[in-house]
Amino acid sequence: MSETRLRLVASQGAAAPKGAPAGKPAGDKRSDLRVVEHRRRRRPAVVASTAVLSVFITLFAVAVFQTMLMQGQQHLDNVNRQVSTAEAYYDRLKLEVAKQEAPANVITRAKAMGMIVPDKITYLTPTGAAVMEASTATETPVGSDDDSGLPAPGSSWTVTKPFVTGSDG
Amino acid sequence: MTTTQFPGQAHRPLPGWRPGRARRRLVVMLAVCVLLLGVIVAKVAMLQTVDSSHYSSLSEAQRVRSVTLPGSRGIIFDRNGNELAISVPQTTIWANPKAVVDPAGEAAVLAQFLGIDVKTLTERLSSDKEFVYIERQVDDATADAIVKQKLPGVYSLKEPKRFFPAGDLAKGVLGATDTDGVGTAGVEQTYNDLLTGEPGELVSERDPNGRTIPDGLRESKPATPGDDVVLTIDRGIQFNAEQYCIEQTIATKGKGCIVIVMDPRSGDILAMANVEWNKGDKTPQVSKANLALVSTFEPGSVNKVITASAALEEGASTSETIWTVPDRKKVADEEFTDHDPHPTAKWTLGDIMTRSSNIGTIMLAQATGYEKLDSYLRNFGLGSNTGLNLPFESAGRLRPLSQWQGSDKGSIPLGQGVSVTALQMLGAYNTIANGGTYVAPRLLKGTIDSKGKMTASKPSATRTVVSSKTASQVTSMLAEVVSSKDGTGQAAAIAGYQVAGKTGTARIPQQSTGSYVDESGNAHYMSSFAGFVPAENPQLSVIAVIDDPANGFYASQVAAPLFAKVAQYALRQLHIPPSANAVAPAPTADVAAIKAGDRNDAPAPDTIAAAAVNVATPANQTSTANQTSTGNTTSTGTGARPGTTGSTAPR
Repeated sequence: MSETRLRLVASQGAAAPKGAPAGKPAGDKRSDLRVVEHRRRRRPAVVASTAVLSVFITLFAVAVFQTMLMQGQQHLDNVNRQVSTAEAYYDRLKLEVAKQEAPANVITRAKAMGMIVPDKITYLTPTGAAVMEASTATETPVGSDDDSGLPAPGSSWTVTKPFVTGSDG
Repeated sequence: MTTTQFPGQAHRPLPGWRPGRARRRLVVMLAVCVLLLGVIVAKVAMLQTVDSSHYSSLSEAQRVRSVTLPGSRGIIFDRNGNELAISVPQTTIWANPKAVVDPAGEAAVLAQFLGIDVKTLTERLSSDKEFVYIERQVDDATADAIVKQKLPGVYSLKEPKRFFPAGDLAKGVLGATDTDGVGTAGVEQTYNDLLTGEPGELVSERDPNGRTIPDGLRESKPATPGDDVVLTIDRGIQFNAEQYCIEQTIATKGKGCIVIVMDPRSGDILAMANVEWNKGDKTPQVSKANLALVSTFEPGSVNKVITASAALEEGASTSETIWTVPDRKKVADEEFTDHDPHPTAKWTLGDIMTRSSNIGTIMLAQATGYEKLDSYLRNFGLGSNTGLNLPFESAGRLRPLSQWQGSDKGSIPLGQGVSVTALQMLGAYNTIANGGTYVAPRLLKGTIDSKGKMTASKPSATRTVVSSKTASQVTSMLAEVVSSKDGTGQAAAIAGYQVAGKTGTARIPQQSTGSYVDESGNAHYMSSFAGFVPAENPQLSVIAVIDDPANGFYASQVAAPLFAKVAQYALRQLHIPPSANAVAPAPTADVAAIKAGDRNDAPAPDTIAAAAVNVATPANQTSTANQTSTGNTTSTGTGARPGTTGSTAPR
């Protein structure tokens, strides 16, 4: 009804020429006619569509966000599983290395490669005089990494060799 | 009356339609709706208020999962950082019997992989519990195969399992753990609190598929791994000591063998080898028991070093004092003899030690006084635990002086009538090596916490037992035992090094007869050699003990060569330089070179006298003191001790 009224007002306004004197007959208590701007009607369908679309987009965004969150969490779970697996693998490798390094295993592997355990072990032992001479001749230089207390190879060997005797162990 | 009619409007009301009835229906419907809504609101209110905690907990039980994170057990390292014991996660197969669909069928499948009989597995899978172990800590291949079967109600979890990567190496020292990872023996038991980690917990919300719910509850308390333990053991020296022990046990046909290698200065135990025959073994094996600590024996002549030290320290003798030593002497009602008959000799203390004279040693003890001798024996570490705190360590048996009986005054100075552990005896030699200061043995070098910080253990406790002068004099005598042509320890010599040590061939008391001979009249011996090297600056001490060797029984034959082998390897391993003033001896003979009978002082076993003796028994056994002879015709006394007439003397 209001639209009808507006249309009516507009048409009345349009009927009056612009610039016409605003006078009105005496006794006419109606208010003055005036020009009103035409307002376009909002179409309900558009509004509804927009609302539906907005809701859809919002829900879709939430779904996408949730999916991404789930994917992220799954990735995190996978990474955690991989860490656990890698740690267990590391532990197993550590154990394997320790087993391989064990003296009994070294002997077994050496025998498998054709080596044999000697009947007697001959140690080369410098005599007392050699020890004295070697210790004098081969002073370990300051800052040397050699903390074994043994004569350095090369220079000391020529000094020590004549005194070395073999002994059976 | 004019009736306005609009298009589409019914001309007449429907049949039976009455405005009042429709209104009532609407009111009723409204009331019903309001009522239903009220019920819903009331229920919601109840859920949110009165029952909220109950349903909340039910909901949490569905969503929230708590996982215990095991605190891994610490590693046991040797002194060089080699792993001796390590824990690695293994798969445990468990089941929820309530979720098992076909117990018999699943049991049959599991039995193929686990080697457990179907009946046992069926019983486990039919249990009314919600958690039963099927098999714990199975190997990876088996676990993978079972998991692939996807049996309903059968699951797997990870549990740490203890491994000893070097196999039997130091088995008796390291001990063992049970399936739950609790130490039950040896180092594993002693340092269980240190090694045990603190479990953590991970609480998280999960969906029915076990996936973590994003943004859900997640609380994590990380597990704290146990501390790593670093022992003073050297893996290489330990292995070689065990191998030499096994070889020597086979060569001498002994019942077992003990070798301990120590650094006398710090008390660090570098190796503790325990070897024995087990039932059904074709060769002797590394023992599960730490014989060096739990097994006691009468030390025999190795104990004379304490008597000599006491005599020197108390001024009862000097190194130059000449003693008139006969070859036999009666103490109380028993006559003791030297190993070899000899005319009364003029010997110094050094000669007495070199020849391992029983009579000379008894005379030294008498001159020192038994009260003081008892005090020195205890100060040298006999009769008490070493402080290592390893399980089942024996304190040996050293009776209070008040309980010494007649012939004890003759036998105890010789090392009979008293029992010790190998570690106690080596501790006594360490005291001499350290210039008279006793250093308690140490097995724990340090610990490494979860952050990798190494904390060294405290240095061993020390106490002065004799003066450095006395220790120096005794060291010289012990060096003579090895280097002198009359010495009993020549086979312990090591080329390039001065060795100081003493042999001990002691009879083993026989529980069956209450004497030192068995039912057949045969004696059994514990042969030992204890010493240190280099004598002028001791950095290594070793004791080698062979239990009841059948192929030669003198310590000079069976124990001294073992000492030399072990020490020679350890000297190289530890980079200990040769003695500057040592004369390189001729290549030393090994067991094969010194044969029984080569020595003119070695009596044939069948001439050994049966002796009625005061048997030194372990603390937990009944003493068989003063039992009479079982009747050996060669015994001349009322009851001869080892070292008494007709018997082989401790040497």
